[in-house]
Amino acid sequence: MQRDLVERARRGDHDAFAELAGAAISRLDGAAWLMLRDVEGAKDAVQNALVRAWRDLPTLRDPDKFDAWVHRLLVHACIDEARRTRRHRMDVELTELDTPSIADPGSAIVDRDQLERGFLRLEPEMRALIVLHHYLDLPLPTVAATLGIPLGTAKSRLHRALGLMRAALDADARVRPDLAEGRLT
Amino acid sequence: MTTNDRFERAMSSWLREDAPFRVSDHLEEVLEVTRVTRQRPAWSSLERWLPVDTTFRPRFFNVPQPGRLALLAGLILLLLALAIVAIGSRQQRLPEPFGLARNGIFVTSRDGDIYAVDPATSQNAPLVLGDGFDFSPIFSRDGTKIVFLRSDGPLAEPAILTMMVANADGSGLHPVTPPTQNLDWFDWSPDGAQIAYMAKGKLWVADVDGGAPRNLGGVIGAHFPTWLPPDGKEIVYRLEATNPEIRAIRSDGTGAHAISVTRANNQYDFGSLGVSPDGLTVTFTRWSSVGVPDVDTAGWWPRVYALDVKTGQEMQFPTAEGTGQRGAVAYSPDGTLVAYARIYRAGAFQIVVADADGSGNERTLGPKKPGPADGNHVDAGWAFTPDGTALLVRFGNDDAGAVHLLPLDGSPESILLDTGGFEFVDVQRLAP
Repeated sequence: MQRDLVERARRGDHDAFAELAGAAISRLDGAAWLMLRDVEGAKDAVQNALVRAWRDLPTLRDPDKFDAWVHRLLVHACIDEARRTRRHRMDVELTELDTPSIADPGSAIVDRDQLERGFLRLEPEMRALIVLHHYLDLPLPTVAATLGIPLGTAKSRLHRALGLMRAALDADARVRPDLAEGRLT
Repeated sequence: MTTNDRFERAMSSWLREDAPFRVSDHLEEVLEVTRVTRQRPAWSSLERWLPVDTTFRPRFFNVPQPGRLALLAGLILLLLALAIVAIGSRQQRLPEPFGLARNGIFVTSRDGDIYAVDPATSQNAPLVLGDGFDFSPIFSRDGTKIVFLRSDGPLAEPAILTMMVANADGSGLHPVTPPTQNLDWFDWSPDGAQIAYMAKGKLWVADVDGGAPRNLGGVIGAHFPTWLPPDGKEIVYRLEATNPEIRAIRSDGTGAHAISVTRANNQYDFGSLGVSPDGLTVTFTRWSSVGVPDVDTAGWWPRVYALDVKTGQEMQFPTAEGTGQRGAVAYSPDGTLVAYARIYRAGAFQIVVADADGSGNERTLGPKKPGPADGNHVDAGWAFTPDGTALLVRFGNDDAGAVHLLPLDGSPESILLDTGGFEFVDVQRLAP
């Protein structure tokens, strides 16, 4: 069914493309929101990805790879969007901690705010990797192909991303009186 | 369950709960934009240009950022150089259509206009400005003319295009076809008098000096029409079908016959045609699971073959163990070398130069770049320079890219042009 729609859309059938876009847009919106944490940015990224998908669809060689291709376009659009807005946010540099965790980040006490704070501290490329694997449920070989990186690189980047998130959660778990009092030292 | 498992489960759960309902429905906004956005023709993918001997297709070049005065001075110098070339071309002998030649200027397009680019300085100068949206300029094999496509208005879908021809200095502009729907893939005849092209899957030949184009032999489903060297008596093409074939037809529309002998294993077989300068061999890429190694994630690995035009015998180019190959093959001007992409299982590709006779002697050139492990998408285009001393490779996609000059003698590579908005690029051949 989807293959038929893709082939029709490749031939310029806009109704077929509308059907494809309609089926995909919620999933893309969710992924873009997770990567960017910004509603307008996510809308722009999804729009850019879908417009480009329509524009370049005739060049797609294998209709069965439409989903993977659109995911790739979305990731590129999100990374571009993140880079455009990067200057407006404060970058926080983190290093992975080799020391034992103060709090166990895998335990049930990890709350959503902590996860969000940890996630926000990741670079867009790392967020993309986590979203593709843990939100869209793509297997790592597909994630690697989507991001255009070797499988080994995808594995090591995912490991590093999760390590950075755990480090962020550990850092949050430490009490810093200066921050607790609302002061930046 | 380990700590890591619990952490990843907590994160997956959070992602799923956090994602929905954050972004308002904007499907209609997207569709409003796509309704008025033209689609790129299928042939505008990199692969379309690879088989052409001196043609490659960087989409974005970076114009250096000199001051305005320096830029103006450069443009004046380039225009003078073009004028000298134009005057000189009337006095100097022309290169043979195939074989070694001297490197000339680049021709390219940007924002619907045609430009000449000096490869030594990356300075550009307009060749054809004004009316219409012009793109895809290609030099004739003797380097004296260019052909390109023109849309008279905004590019709609399906595109209605006119094929235009001009002298290398931009003068003498005239159409060689009427406005044509789905005009696609064109190739200069060796003598520069005709241009073969396809439109709506049919094969056509236009005379450069005028007259109505003629349809060849009622062929339906032709693709990659390419004049067969050295005399161009026949045009080779891929017959698009469930079981595609490589076929040839005389330029008068008679004598259509199959060149390929084996049956295609799937609809992708016999893709990405390349023709040797002596016209004895047609290369193609076979996308098949038969007789080639499988790859973990995709099942298929492409391989490059050479087809003997006279006997129909196929030869598979050897490759390193654990790697695949991807055309389109570019032949060196003297026909002794071929260049194609090597596909690595780990998800990467690299440009390879090998002996054209299939005896091996592969050597990689330039950097290894990321790419799908099944070779489905190779983000590069490549061609030998007319003088045969180097390979021009354009790495990158629409967002970023650069043209690398990779000397065959092992000298360090250099980047000729970096990102910047120019599209199709072709290199002029000059007499040695």
